[in-house]
Amino acid sequence: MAVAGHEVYTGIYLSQLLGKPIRDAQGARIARVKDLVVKFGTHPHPPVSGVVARAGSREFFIERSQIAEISDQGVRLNTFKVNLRPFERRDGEVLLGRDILDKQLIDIDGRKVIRANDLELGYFDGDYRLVGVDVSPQALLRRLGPAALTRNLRGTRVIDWEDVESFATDVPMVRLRVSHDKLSKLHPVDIAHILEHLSREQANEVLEALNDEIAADAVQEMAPADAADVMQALDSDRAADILEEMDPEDAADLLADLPKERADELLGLMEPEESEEVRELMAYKEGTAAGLMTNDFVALPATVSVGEALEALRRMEHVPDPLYHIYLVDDEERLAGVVALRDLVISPPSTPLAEIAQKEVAPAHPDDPAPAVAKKMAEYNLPTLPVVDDAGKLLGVVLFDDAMDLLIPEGWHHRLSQVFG
Amino acid sequence: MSSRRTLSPTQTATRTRRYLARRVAGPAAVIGVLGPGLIAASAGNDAGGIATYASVGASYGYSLLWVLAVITVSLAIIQEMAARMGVVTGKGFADLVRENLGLRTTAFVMLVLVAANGGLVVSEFAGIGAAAELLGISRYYAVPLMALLVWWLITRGSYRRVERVFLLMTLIFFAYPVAAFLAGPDWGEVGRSLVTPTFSLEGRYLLLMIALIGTTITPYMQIYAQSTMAERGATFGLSLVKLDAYSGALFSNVVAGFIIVATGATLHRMGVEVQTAQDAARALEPVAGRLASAVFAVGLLGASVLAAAVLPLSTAYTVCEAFGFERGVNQSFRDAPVFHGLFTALLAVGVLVALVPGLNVIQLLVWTQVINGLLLPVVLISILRLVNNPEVMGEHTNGLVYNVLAWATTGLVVLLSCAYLVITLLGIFGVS
Repeated sequence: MAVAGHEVYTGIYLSQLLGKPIRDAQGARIARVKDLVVKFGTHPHPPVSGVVARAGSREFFIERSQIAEISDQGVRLNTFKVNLRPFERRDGEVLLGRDILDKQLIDIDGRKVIRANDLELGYFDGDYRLVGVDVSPQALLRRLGPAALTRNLRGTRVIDWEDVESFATDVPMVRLRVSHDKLSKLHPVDIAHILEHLSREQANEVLEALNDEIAADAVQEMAPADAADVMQALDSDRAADILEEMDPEDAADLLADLPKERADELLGLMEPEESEEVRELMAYKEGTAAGLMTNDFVALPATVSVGEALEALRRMEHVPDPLYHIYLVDDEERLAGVVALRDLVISPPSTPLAEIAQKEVAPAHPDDPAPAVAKKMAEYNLPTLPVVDDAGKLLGVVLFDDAMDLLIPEGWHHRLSQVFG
Repeated sequence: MSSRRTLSPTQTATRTRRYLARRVAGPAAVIGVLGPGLIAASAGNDAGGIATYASVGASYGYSLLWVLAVITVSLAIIQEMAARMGVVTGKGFADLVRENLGLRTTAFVMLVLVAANGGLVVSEFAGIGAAAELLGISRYYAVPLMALLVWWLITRGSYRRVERVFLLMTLIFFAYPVAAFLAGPDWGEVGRSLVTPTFSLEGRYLLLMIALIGTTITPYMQIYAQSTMAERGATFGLSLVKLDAYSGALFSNVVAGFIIVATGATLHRMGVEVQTAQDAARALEPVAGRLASAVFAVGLLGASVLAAAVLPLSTAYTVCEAFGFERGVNQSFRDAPVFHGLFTALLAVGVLVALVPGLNVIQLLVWTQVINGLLLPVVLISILRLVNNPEVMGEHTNGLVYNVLAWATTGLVVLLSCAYLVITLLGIFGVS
């Protein structure tokens, strides 16, 4: 962080600066510090762009250019003349005390939601800057306790501002743009956990900023109740976009948790092809093989060769993810065999699929109880299990990752997540 | 549809909320269709609630029923405000206090909350002790044993599996409405008492009045309502939230009213003051006959254990939420020392106080409700400041009628507290 030729220091806490005197060039007290203004978007550590001062009942703004020094003793100006114009937010400007202190932030490195117990400031890169967020209990004591005792308490956990994301929704009036780029690089499971901890508005903001695919991955990793809550509050078009990107069985589960009108509205806004898939799944009963399955799978005629099958896969606009098996069907969509992706890859292109198909699979019936299906998959080490109706028609496929949720022993599940999970 | 459950070692912030929301599912499945508001409100009828209502009925017959009628309105609007804050902001009470009222206020409110809930934890363990003794088991064995059981179940993560048993046990208190009818009260008098305010400056009268308010409008119920709605309120909608809060308040206070009527028609008529849990159980004699004590004990045990498990947990949770500490029972002691420390300390204090030799349980139960009543204004004023802040609530701030009623309730509690204080002081100095 240090740049040669500049004085570098850190360790000024916002809480100790607020209320401290502002002195003019001769050291006469002219006002007190009401708040500190920083400018976002120019530097990973936003520079101070001014101070909101308070003298009596009057509040006014002092530009950075008039400030000679900021220390834990207060602010010293380089002038005698101050303009008494009130503070007006300019582009990217944030009031540290009002908008950031005590608010929730995201610690990208720690992959969790934190609360700003204090903010640390410093001088480097040629300016006074926001250094980091103090989340330690010491910060609370520093702010609550008698100054004489707690003044010198250092934060034991200060998170570098570079690893922190804040929320635009905490800044009223001005539409501040926060990209949430750093957040979108996290694993969807981590994003999901963070979303569960945020307020509705903040979760909305994050989902608006993420691209459809990442947002969809994150939403389907959220606990069902949280996911439903978020999708209820989200802008309808955006929610429909996210639903389109979700696995159809997850989208169907989520929509089933929403009020009927909202679910219908979102289905209506989705691309017909995707909404049709989801609608189909929503018709099945919960707790059955059909309720557990996805209808996003690849089915090919048994007469196709390996080479043709691979070519067909490459040309598909949307390839199911994960893809473990390809299902062979006859003219009436009846299941005729299952080809493992492994066998497809290692077989010569001219081999007919029928030759490498596994025929001994016993498919599930749509009405089979879901736990029994999951158990069977675990017992026989099946990554997927096709679901076939009385006529032999292939309806869908149960994926192991969906079945796994039913398999985890309760005790383990509890210990891993929470008592009350 | 299948339910995809996410495994989430770090997913803690919403967990107590979800736990409380799960509680909703429990009794809802048993009793019928109950919303979160209904459950939140009837959660007020715990050990302290039963003791208070029974004492009120025994000491003053039906004459305090009008207070119950008045605070039903208060409870309804206060629960609605809390739930509305949850729906609109998607944030818990601790979050909002910290973000909008400053750190000093937060520290004060949390201190009050720990005191109020700490009192309730004490009352729950006293309830466990009383129930045990009614069943012929010494509280010196029962209380530490139950505390260890609760602590073990929660930290081991098996609490959910046994929760339903305790919930079912609390259904016994529905015997009170039946008892009230069987006791054959003068319904005309009951009706008149409901709408005729009477007042007395007697110390005990004021005390029971404060306890009545404190046990009916409990800070932890508002926090519960808000966090449930913060979690899943968007799918509810504001009008449904309102209906839920109102019907919850009505339902819980109707049950409370029947307890007062049942004790008023039996104990008060016989001139018996509720001194022991045995006395409170006698009001159930019209229903249970000689089994009244045992039946009452089972209900008391269920209600007390339920609350004894929830209260320390939700208190530790709220405090940690306010100050940004790591929280959740899945976190190790090393990772979340404040959370585990506070949770365990609350349990320990509850046990220790409940084991004090020669303890008057009923008096203790009533007193913990008085403390809740005395501390209630702090939480109410915080709620009112938040719910009327347009930056927090947007267009959903309170209307005039709401503010008048809510402030009137706050004022009433403050006034009663002051009156009680003055009268007690006068008593001490021999001027009465």
